[in-house]
Parts: sequence; structure tokens; C-alpha cells
Amino acid sequence: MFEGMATAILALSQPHVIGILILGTIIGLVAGVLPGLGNVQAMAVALPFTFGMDRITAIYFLSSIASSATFGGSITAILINIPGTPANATTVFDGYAMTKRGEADRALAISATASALGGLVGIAVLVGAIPIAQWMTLQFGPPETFMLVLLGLVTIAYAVQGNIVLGLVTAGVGMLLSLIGNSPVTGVYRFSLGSKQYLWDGIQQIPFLVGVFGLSEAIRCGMQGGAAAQVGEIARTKLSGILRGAVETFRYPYTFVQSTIVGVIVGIAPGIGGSVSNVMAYALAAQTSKDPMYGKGSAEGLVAAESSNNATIGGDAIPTLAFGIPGSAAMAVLMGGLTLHGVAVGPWLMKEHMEIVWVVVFGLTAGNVLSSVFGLLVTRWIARLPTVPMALILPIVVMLVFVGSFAVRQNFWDIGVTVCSGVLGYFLIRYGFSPLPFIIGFLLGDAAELAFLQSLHISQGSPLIFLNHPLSLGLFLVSVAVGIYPLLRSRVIKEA
Amino acid sequence: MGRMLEGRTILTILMLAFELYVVAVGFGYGPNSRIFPVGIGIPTLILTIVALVAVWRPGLLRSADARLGGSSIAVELPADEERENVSYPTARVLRMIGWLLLALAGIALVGFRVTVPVYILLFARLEGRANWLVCTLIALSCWAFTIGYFELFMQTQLFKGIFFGDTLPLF
Repeated sequence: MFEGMATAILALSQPHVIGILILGTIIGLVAGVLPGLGNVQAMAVALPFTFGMDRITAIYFLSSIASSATFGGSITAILINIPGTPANATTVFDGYAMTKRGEADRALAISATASALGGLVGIAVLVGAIPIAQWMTLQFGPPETFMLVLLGLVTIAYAVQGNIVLGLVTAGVGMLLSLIGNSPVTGVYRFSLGSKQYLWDGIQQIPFLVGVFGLSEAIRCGMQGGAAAQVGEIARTKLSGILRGAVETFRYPYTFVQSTIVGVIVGIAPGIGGSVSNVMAYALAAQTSKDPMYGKGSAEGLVAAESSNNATIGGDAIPTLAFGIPGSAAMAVLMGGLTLHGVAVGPWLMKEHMEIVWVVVFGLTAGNVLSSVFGLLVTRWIARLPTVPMALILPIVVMLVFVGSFAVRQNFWDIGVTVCSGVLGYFLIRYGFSPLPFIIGFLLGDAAELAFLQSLHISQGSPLIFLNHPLSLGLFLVSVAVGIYPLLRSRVIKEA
Repeated sequence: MGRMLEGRTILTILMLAFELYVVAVGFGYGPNSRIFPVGIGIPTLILTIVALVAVWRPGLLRSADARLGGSSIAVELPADEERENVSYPTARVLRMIGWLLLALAGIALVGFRVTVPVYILLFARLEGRANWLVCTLIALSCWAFTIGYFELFMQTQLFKGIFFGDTLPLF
């Protein structure tokens, strides 16, 4: 454990790693500021660019982007009433009201302090969970791994906004797509779709991820046309106001603790992220707050919204690093990055690559703290970014996505996969299917098949192995319970 | 709403067709190669049929609604909700997809070196109505970054295009 930590710290002492952390933070901040884009899209576009980097630098880069976008979104939410990311939806209520009262500097400082502290608490929980997760992963054999994937998919299908049946359908289709190509167990070339050569290795993860998360959002932004916002005069910030706001954050310890707990718990649940936690924490704080200004420019409301959405990021990383089940879309892209750099993600990650776990921890920490500091320094300039027409940003994103998809393997058809998955991702979102179960099904398909066949091999073909192991049985029962819960709940509501 | 349902139906039918393909073709493989695809394919197929029937009988899926994981806290999630319901004209959707296909064709024919600046220039000018100077500056900056980072720094040979002697790999 400490050897891995030492490797990660040693890498941090190298100037190029520090430079890449700063670059990642700036990219994350800019993506957060631009409405419609966020850490997922920035990570998806940046992912192929990490191909030439060494593994540790690449993971530092992606982790810093993952944790810096949320505060970027807060800047526009507070200054121009536009949440940069869904995780800042409730920041606008109190943040913009404070700006209208001439307290933009105070609001930004509260937001930056609550974001940084909330993020640090989330990451501290992640660090605290490492020994427990390490112990748990030692109990995992192939049947438990398969059941864990099943539980992950059912939970994600349930947790993402919408409908569990539609979630399971997209997860199943994603999983079936991952089976195209050469079987890792039997070597048989399956479901070739007419391809003689290209699909031999299956659908490539990076072009697919980049398409579903990066290009689909670019298509959507292209539909919107003009600039996301028309901004007049941006409020000026003063050092005295910033200091006052930073100190004020500590006046609401109960709200802070409550909101970070909500943020961490929501983060640990696979598939849901800051967009849910900030709304839940804000609503919960509204029930306990005695501030008559809550929702109309209250510092307490801002603390609730901003501490929860950043705490979620540490929580998101727990199922991702411990079990290979992505806690959010950003973590799914991070998983793609780990795979690209030859790190197999799953319950075995903590056994074999503890240094990667620490790199993610330090990368998230650095991105979280740096984004709050940088964000405060460049507020007035960065808040103007939403005035840039999307038609100027979009072709750059498209070209970077295409070049990046090509560069990983230098195969032209990888760009074709990106276009197809981008268009598919756009239509999935447009017609109410969440792309997250789809991607997670795709990412976990191979590992699930391997664990499934290994289990049957151990039991000489008996499927009872999944029920004979207590942990596997427990995971199966929880999966069934999660699957039928919405049905039971609706029956209970009907009868009541 | 009608158009959305129509689009959702088409998407569901496409997914159903793919699942049928996997299950039907899967039965032709040996036991170890088919057990997982068929085992996943059949339940997915059944759920997709349920989703398809629900297009005409929406009540069928209502009990499977899972908003906020069934949280008792009544809150709304603005971003994704709005995103789902925004319906752009079909012509605009097709135009955007057309731009992507144009870029793909451009890369196939004349490679990245030509397509990157020309595509950005044309898109920014025709879709963004920006002035020529801004368009040219953006196009040249992106071109310089692409060539500088990939070809000079990472030593990656970008696709040159069929017209400049590269051949498309076999699919």
C-alpha cells in the first residue's frame, strides 16, 4: 500500500507531471464553464491525447480534469445565472442572487472554499475506504466478480434518471456490443457484422467512449447554434470580499457535514453523480435551515450545493477503483483511460496496481484544490467563455475527437466507430435512454463473460456455483431486490 | 411528443434487431462461445419487447420508473430532463450528421492535414457566421496544434488521404 503511495508521490515531484496537472485543471475548468460541456466531455476528448504519455502522467491528467470541472460550472452559475454543469443546478439559486446584491466575490469565495473542502472530505472517505476495499476484493473469485458486475448494471439501470427497464435494455445492448470480435476465452470470431478484419479485436473502447460521450454532446451543442449566454458587465471581485466569503463557509458546519455525507453516499452508488447529489443536499438543507434568505442569496444554501457536488467525486471513485464498477460517467471515461494504458480494472486493481489507486487519489485532490484557486484568480475572464458561439468551438471539438480516435491505433475505421457511436449516443439521449448504462455494459461485458466462463469451468458446468458461494449469493439477492424494488414500490403506492 | 415517440420506437426496433441478430447467430457457435451472448441476449430481447409494447401502452413501464432511486425527497433534476424533451427539427439533425459525414469523407479523401483547417473554416463560416479572419485564425491554430502535437511531438503518422497515396485499411 505504502509502496504504491510512494510511487505516486515520487511522480508528483517531476515538473512535467505538475505541468500536466495544471493543464488538466485548466481544461476541466474551461469545460465546466461552457454550458453543455463538463468533465465527461473534456475527459473523452482528452483521452486519446494521453496515448503518448506514460501511464502515471496520463492518469494524473485525466483525474485532474475529472475533479476540476464542477467548480468551473459554479463560476457561471454565480456570475451569469447559467449552471456550467448539471452538478451546479442549485448553485444558481443563492449564488446568482448574491451576485445581484453586489456580493459576487463573497459567493465565489464561499463556493471555492466549500468545493475544495467538500472535495477533500470525499477524497478522505475514498482513502479511508481503501483498506476495507482491499480486504473485500480478496474475497472475490470469478462467481463473485460476475455477480458484482450484474449488481453494478442493475444498480446503474435503476439509479440513473428514467426507467429501470429502459436502463437494463441499454446496458444489455452495450454488453452485447462488447462481445463482437474475437472471444477472449474460446478464440472464436463472433458477430462480425460483415467485417473481415476490423472487428477482429472487437469495437475499440476509446473511439466508442469518445463518440458516445464527446461527439454526441458536440452534436447536441451544434443543434443549439449560437452562444450559450449573452453576458453584460461581469461583476468585479475584491480581495476583502473573497476573504470574508472564505471564512463564512466555516459558519455552517452542520450543513457542510450533512451535504458532504449526501455527496459521498450518492457518489458511492454506481451511476449517479453530482447532478443528483447537489439537488438532494440542497433540498435536505432547505428542510433544516433557519435562514430566511435560503434560496434567495443564502451562504448556507451555497455551502450545501457546492460541498455536496464536489464530495461526490471521491465517492464516485470508490466503486470504480475497488470493484471496477464506474461510479459516474467521468469514472467510466477514467476506466477507459486505465484500460488504454494497460491497467485492467476490476476487483484485482487494488491487488496489482496500488500505485494507480494513489495516482487517482492525488490527481483528484490536486484538481479539486487547484481548480478552486485558479478559478478565483481568473473569474472575470473565464466567465466570458459562454459568450463564444458554439459554432466556433464545435468544429474544433469534432476535429480533436477524430484525430484522437485515429491516433491511438492509426486505423481509419476507428473514426467511423466514433461517428457511429456519437450519432447513436445523441439519439439515445434524445429519446430518453441514458447512455451511462449503455457504456458501462460495454465496458464490463468482456470481464463479465470471462468471470462467467471461469466460474462454470471451476464448477464443471454447474450454474449452482453462483448460489453456493455465500458472497455471490448475497450479491445475487441484492441484484434481484434492486431489480424488483420499483415494481414493489409502485404496488405499495397504488394500494395506499 | 408524437415525433419523440416515433423516434424512440425506431431506436427500440433497431436495438431489437441487433439483439435478434446476436441471439440467432449466437446459437450457431459452440457451447462456450454462445452461452454468454445468448444468456444476456434473451433477457435483453424480452425487456426490449416490453419497452416496444410500452410505446402503445405507456402504463406498462410506469411501475418501473426509477426517479432519483425512489428517494423520498421531492426534487427535480432540470438538466437531463430538459435535454430529453428538446426536439430539434429533423432537417437540423440531419445537417449536423451531414457535417460529421463530410468530415469523415474529407479525411478519407485528402487526409487530416487538409481536412482539419478546411472543415473548421467552413463550419465556423457557414454555421457560426463568423468573419473570415476569425475563421482563418481558428482553423490555422487548430491545424498547427494537430500537426505539432501528433506529427512532430508524438511522431504519429496522421492519415494522408486516398488522393495523397494512403489506402483505406480493409474493413
